[in-house]
Amino acid sequence: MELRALAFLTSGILVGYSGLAERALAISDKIISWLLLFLFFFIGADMACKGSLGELLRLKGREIFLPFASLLGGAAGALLAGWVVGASLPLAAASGVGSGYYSITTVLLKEMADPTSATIGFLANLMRECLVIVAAPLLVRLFGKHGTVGIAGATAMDVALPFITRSAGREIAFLSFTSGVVVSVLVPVMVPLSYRLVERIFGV
Amino acid sequence: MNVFLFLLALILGICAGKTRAPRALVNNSGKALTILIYALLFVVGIEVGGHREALTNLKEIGLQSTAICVGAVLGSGLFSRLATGGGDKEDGA
Repeated sequence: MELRALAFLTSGILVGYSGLAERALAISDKIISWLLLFLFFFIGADMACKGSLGELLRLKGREIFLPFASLLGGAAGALLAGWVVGASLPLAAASGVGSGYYSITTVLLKEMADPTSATIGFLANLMRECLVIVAAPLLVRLFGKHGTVGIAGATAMDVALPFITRSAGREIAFLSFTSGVVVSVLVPVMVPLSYRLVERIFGV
Repeated sequence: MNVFLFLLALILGICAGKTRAPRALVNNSGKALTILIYALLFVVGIEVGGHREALTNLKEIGLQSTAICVGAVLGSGLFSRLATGGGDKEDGA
């Protein structure tokens, strides 16, 4: 699944770079906008069917804050780091909100901004996913079990789940999955919203 | 395109899912999502590849994406830890 997403993006880049798709390039903006509308429609239908946000109610105590802390912390940290290196602030915040869900984040950033921003958002979120896979034991030592689930963001429900449970114990699996589901549901909405919000606040 | 159009599409989707109107459409929403994401990634790829300036400044792109990744990881790690109670007290192992 993940490799296929990467393959589609890469083959698109190759086709675009080769100049084979000059005509497609002229209308690709429109194509993306329309596909996104359908995408959001089906995200909504999917949410309603599975009752994804209802998963939240199965968390106990303060664990219910975890997915929101993950999103908010990601946005704040990325915003700060983006400011330090002189990145576009809306881009930094939206990429941080991306939570490792790089396919959606990339596409949304292309729509909100430009191809370069999409590339940055893609790489930042791909790295985030890879980091959890590679460095889960270290992350558990530094940030604790809950912190690691937060760092995994949307990937805590699938790609990163086995690596998290291996390092943080099986008892975290349910929380990890649930947090990942909630974050995944929120990412498509929060990425464009955070982009526009930061754009408003900082006037860039 | 306006963000609110996307939210509108999302709400329409939720309504379609709740009202159980066209079953075949809603039941296959997971499959439709996968196909749409792949198609979108392909078209976005064409855009990135076609606008060569998007790929010229690789050093800057690498720096910014790494910084954003590090910031997001530190931020979400700390916030998540604090929000759930400042650490795992039962963290023995």
